[in-house]
Amino acid sequence: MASVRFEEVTRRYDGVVAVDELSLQIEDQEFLVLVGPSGSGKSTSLRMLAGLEEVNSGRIYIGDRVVNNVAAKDRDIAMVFQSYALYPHMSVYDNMAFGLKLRKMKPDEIRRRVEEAAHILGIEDLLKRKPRQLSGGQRQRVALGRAIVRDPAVFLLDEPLSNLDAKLRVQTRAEISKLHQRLGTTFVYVTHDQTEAMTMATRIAVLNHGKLQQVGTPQELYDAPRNVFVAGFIGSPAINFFDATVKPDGEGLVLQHAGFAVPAPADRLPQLREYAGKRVIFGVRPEDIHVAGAEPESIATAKVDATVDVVELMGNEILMYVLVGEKSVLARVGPRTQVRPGQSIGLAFDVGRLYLFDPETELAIGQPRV
Amino acid sequence: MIGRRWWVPWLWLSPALALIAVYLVYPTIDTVRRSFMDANSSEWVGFDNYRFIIENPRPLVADTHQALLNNALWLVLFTVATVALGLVIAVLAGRVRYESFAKSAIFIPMAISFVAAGVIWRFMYEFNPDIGTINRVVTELGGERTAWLQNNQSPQSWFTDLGPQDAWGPFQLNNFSLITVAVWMWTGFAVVVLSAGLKGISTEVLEAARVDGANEWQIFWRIIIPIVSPTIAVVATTLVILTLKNFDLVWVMTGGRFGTDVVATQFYRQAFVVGDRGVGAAIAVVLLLMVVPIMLISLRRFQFQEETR
Amino acid sequence: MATDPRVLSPESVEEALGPARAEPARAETPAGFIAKIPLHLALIGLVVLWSIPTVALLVSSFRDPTAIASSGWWTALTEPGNFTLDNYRDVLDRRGMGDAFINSLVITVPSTLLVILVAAFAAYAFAWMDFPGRNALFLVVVAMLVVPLQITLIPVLRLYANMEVDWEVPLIGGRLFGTASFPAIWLAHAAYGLPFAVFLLRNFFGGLPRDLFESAYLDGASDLTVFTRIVLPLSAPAIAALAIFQFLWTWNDLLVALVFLADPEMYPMTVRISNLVSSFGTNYQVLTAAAFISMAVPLAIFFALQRYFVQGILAGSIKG
Repeated sequence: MASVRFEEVTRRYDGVVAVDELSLQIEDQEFLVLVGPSGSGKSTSLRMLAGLEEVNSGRIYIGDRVVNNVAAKDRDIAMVFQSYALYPHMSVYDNMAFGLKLRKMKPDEIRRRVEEAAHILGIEDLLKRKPRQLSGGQRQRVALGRAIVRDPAVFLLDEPLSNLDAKLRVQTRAEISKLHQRLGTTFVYVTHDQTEAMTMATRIAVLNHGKLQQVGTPQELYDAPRNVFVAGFIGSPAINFFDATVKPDGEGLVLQHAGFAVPAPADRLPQLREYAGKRVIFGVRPEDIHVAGAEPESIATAKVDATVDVVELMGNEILMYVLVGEKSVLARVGPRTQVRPGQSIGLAFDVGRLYLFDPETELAIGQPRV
Repeated sequence: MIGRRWWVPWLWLSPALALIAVYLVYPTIDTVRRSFMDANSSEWVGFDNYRFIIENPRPLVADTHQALLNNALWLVLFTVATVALGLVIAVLAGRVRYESFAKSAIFIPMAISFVAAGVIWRFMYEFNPDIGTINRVVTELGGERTAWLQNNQSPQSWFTDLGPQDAWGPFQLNNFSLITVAVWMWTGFAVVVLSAGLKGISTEVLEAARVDGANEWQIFWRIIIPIVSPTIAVVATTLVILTLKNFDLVWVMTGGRFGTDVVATQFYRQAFVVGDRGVGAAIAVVLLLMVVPIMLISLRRFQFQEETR
Repeated sequence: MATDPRVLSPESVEEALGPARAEPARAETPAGFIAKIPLHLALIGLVVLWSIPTVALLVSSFRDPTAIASSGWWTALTEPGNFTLDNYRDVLDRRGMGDAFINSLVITVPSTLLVILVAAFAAYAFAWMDFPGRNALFLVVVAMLVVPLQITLIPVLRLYANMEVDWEVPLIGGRLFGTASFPAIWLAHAAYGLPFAVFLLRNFFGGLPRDLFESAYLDGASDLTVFTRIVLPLSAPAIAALAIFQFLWTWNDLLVALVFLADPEMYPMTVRISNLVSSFGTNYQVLTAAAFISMAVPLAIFFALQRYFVQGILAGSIKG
């Protein structure tokens, strides 16, 4: 069991900066997810931690040790690869035992560990088979098993669910979470899927273009994103962004969009006064857009007129694409809402839940109420 | 891998590099050096050896011009014939159920040595029609029997009296006889590689063409050939390189005599029989120069693939 | 088809040697069959034509000298019963072909093993180790593919002449090193085979998935362990193809043996036959039997291991 720390770690090659001065502290026994779009540097960061890539500058600690120049095999880590990387010519048992044999462990001890891991993962019956005889899900378990038997200080997982079909993915997500609870080891997990991040992580680190955008618990990232990118990345379906100008309206301010105006949230008026006459970006999550008349009573709303464009019936809710002027906006409304494409509709934006951002720095201006 | 010591790769490479350096690189450099020296490699003679090759002062002992011309004929005729035949057979074989049997039969000659092939074809080319298969066929058809390997006349001289009897340049009957043997041996290689290339053409493309109204001939020329042209290039390149190094076949069948000398046999004769190592080396360098452009093309193609790896 | 290991899989060989993939077995309608008659004729005709020379040789080798000289081999096909094994006996016992056969083996087997060993190590380094000048060096190795054997002969011969070690090697004979030395010729054949071998193996090794190596490194494997426990087992098809290639090439070689093995007792079959041809130009009973003996081993290997041979050619030729 160990903590992990990245200290201004940079990785560049071919003139491209893949990871830019990443500083991140991962606590012992955490399940930390590195999430971001492709090319964000998340896999590269993981691989530097694993010892599969050089660190150009900065330091990586595992526990109290600086491991920059320590060979991968001596870092006390285990890794699950996206494509599982099972040795095709070895049986499942041998795949799992390989690393232990190399460390000259006694055969009895090896057998004990392999059988225990196989039991945890439910693959005891597969020990004699070769990888090509296994399904995708089974192979993934063997890959996990191979990591488990090593009993490492840190578990590294590189997009382990990407090659599974949707249903298996949901199932395996839960199993990996359970595994983490059972083993109590530090997990560092990389994915591009924000749903996986939100559901499995104790904390999430969002990366974009090699830079750390924000690190925090799933709820923190959802409720209080530091910038436009995090707000747009976390939360599914994604937030709706609008460009607006701040205008005075009596004692308060109004956010003037092309086709409509929305009163500025009262709790952030002081910060907004600096932007009077200037542009801002504001965001509204689809779940905070209601059909006028159907909104909860206690919230302050702004009325916006729209035309219904596309209606997606999900069963438990309706995803409604509307046009506000020319802009397409997505709203999540109740499953019994009567809406048809082409229909005019009045929407109620939950003003207190507006996210505000400076258009140049893209940083958040205050945070919406929780 | 982090932690690998710097000298490890070199350790792994050293046996191979040592062997290549000693047996391939050093000799090449040494040969170039010798080509500028005299017969015993004791004195510097500048370009004299090359002048010898160009001027060809002793054509009866070693006709350098003839060797070069013969190589040129080999280069063109052997390559074209092998590729063309290979392509035709590959296409035909691809359409029958006994495809692998047919291809294997064509492929067999590749497994035997040039020496054995030399014996086989000497037997075929034998002057006496009671022994030599080809002469038997020719006489049965009413023609004149010929010494296929010795006859350095123009090809048409064996079946008609028309035209010049003396062959012009390398276009001698016996050269064609030798080239035939080489084609017989190497067509199998072309068939295998081209066949694999043809498999890469999806049947849907061909069906679409047929639906569009193309006949088989058009399909062959306008669809099949353009798609497999990279494969054809690979085969052709390999064959060209092979041809320029070709020694065994000619040596065994004619020893380079009767005007069938090629650069490789010339080299051997000059270096080991005549004993003029300077001229021998110069001929070898000429051979090397002939191969260099091919090598450059190959390397460039290879480098391109490397970038996409 | 690419430089990935799938090129050397049995499946790809099926494709190369067998009927077209993905096409359901077409039941040949009578009309379809008739339309194809020209195709069948042409193809079968070519096959027959191609086989005639070899068959001629084979048939003749079983006939006695007078028969060979007086009637064509094709007549023997219609008059069975005139066959004899004398030619083979003669060639094996009196013309020294038996010894030459052994010599061929002594030359070929160690050369093949040596080239595979040396090339495998180098190929692994080229494929999976990073070092300065890697690409340039590999290009140099590949470039050597083009060097004609002949130009290396004089310098190497000189080297051998200068480095003679006169100690007689037990069991196989010949000097320990120098001209007329088996070990010396093993090194030569290995060297000549290296460019192709390194090229082939490096392409194959390079096609193995990267994360397989990374996983092994993480598991604690050293380079040597990865090489022996992962790369070599997974490369069996490529190594088999290479072995066959090198075996055939060495077995069928004339020039290297001619130049480096000065001692007639050490001649392999190719040199012996070549000499027979010069001295017995028309004694076909001798020549045909000798030639067929020398062909026996390559043909046997070819028939038994056709797949791998074809795989080798494909891997060396087709890319992408």
